[in-house]
Amino acid sequence: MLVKELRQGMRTHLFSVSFILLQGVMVLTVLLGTAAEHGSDSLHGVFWFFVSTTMLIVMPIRGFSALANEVRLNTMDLIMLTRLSAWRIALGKWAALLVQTLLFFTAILPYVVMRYFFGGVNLLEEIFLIFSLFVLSAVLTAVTVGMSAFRGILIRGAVAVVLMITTFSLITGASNGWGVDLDFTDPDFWWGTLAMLITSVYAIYFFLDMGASRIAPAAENHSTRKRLIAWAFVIVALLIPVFSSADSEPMFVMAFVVMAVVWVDALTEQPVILPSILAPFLRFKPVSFSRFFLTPGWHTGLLYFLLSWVILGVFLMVHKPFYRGTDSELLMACINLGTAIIFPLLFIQTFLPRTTNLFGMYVLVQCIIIVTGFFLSSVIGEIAGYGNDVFFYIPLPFVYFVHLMENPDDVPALAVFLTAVMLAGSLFLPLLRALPLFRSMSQVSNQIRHGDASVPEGQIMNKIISRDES
Amino acid sequence: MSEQKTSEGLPPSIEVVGLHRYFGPLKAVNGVTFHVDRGQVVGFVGANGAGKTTTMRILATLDYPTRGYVKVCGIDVIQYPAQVRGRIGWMPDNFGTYDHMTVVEYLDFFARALGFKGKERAERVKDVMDFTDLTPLSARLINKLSKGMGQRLCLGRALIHDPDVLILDEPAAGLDPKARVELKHLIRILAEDGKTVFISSHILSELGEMCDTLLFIDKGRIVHHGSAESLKRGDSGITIVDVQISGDPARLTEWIEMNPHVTFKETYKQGARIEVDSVEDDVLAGVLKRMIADGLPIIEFHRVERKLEDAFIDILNRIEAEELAQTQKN
Repeated sequence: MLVKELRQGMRTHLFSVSFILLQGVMVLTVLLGTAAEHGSDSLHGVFWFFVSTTMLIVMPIRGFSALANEVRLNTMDLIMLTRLSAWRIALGKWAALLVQTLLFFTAILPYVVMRYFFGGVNLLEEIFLIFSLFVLSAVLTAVTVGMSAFRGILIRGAVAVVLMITTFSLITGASNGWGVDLDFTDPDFWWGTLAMLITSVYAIYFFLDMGASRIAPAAENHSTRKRLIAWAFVIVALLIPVFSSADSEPMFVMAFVVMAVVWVDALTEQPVILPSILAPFLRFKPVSFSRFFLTPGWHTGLLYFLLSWVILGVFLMVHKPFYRGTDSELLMACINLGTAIIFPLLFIQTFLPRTTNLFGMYVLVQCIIIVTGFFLSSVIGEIAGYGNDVFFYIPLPFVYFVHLMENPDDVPALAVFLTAVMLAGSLFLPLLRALPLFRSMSQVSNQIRHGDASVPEGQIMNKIISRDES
Repeated sequence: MSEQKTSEGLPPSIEVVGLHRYFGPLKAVNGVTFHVDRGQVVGFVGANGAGKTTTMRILATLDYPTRGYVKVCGIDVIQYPAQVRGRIGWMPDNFGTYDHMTVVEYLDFFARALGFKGKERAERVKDVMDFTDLTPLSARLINKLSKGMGQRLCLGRALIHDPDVLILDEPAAGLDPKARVELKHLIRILAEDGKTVFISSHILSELGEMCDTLLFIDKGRIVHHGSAESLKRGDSGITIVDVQISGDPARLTEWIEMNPHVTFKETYKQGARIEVDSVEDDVLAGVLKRMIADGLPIIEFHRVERKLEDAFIDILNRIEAEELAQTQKN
């Protein structure tokens, strides 16, 4: 896959034009920098602007067409019929783009060295910043390649907008040299770098696997690995501050962000209840129950969410790694975070239970909820004041968040009770709708135990494969 | 779930049982059941939207049934797609190409993706290029190939891993007569090599020449499964024969009147079109033997077969009439 992608990618106009253009700009900035002696801030900004634009926009944006192009050219089916797994296809696409980015990266290095001699810059800092850009580029490319498996142009568009906003702020930061003085002698600096690298590796894995799972055949189980690795990552992130001097707040935030992304993925998977997927779980009885939260499907995703949410909440409540507020405030924050994740599923299962594009619908509903929540909060805040209890009677998680942010020290028991009711309500209907799927899982499991590994016929069959019907 | 076995004790190449595939309210495939034995060449015929491509995509592990099951060489396509994929060669109706890639690079990429390494990969690519006569075009960019060359390349790609079963969806669509003959020739060689070939096409006359059996599908249901010969002869129990004699054709008419199992149908050139009340070859041979014995100077004696297109239309009309009758009855 890598060879084919490189053959194709390096023959494209975008690659050659960008490469030549960047070389021209690099030569120009070095020459001007030499003439200006010890460099000027504006030239410094121009240098970083071009480097970061190439690495954070030009290269990653090509990922958006990676898997989608194969579908458009009618070649995806042909590739899927080879021995390449969906994961290897996604990885190959990403690696090819990364190798091309690496070419840019190595092409820039001589100019950095020249800037050191003629422009009076800190060589180590510059190399470190370029390396950081390269890692960020790798993550962004993984996001775009992963998202390219989604057919909905709206989803890809929404992700592109979010990425553009994030990238723009990164480029602005990069153009100003990030505005930081790097202290290479500080151990915390290296701990932070290591944490950034590990998180980047995990993010690359996750987004590529997310894309791979969308193009893989139903019988390929990506969910178990994805969910277990997320747990492993979160456990490490939470335990590092317990056993070291590392700051616990960013670690917890990072763990929560990772978990939130994995939850969204798990809650938007199509259910696939095949004997070939369930059989490995039944081989070892003590862990056979794990099929109810580790196999593909939003119904198992619901249990996975509940389980990890409780674990994360208990850890936060017991360990209180960084928290200095009241218990009720902490409890309410935990419940609210959970409700915010699960709330769109309630909406989808109530009004759109037959949708085949769960992920797209989830993103859309979540966006609407966030916008509505903040709009209502502003209106109520302006009319009744931000401390008013009327906030608690608007059943939207983000309205509660706004209240919590405005009044961190004043959380009445009624608010905690109402948020708990909202969470229970959000869980009730999706759980009810998940019951038949769990029943199907039990039926298929019993069938396997009795030695029949064939796909069950009739009504169950209608339920087990409900993948994209477009 | 009972499993079919061939005479050699092996499961059939293709086994489709109670296959349904719905797209919302549309029943693209609606209860299809058939099986294809090893080494057979089967033609899959149906109008546009009849459910051919959907069925073939499910066979190729690229789509999922709503109900029913499909096995290729005894392996369930839903549960074990990877194993099935190793045994099938798939040629879609619309051939997807890559820009900036030559014929040899394209085949090399697929050989690599199919797990072949080093010398073996090079040999596979060479064999396939030789078989499909693409060697002189090896350095040409794919998007510069003609439709016929593209189809040969696509067939070559489907053959790289030497699959047991070939699933070819409209391989002759859009080809000129020369390219069509070449493709037919390649498929015939593959069939002689013992491969099971499952092929769909609109050109029924070609399928009739190539295939052991034909499957007709209409509105997602199989409406006929049998040999091309039986279709051509029809199921009326009679055989139409054109007979020409040298000299006065009245002699033939007189002879027909004297023979009870033969009926005059119409005048045909220097003779007559007759109806024999049997489809058996022996009976026909007997009629010819009697004609010669009775001194008729026969210069032409041949069975008139229906065109496959006519047979297909007849089947569709019959089904339509049955459905209409059923609707009126209800």
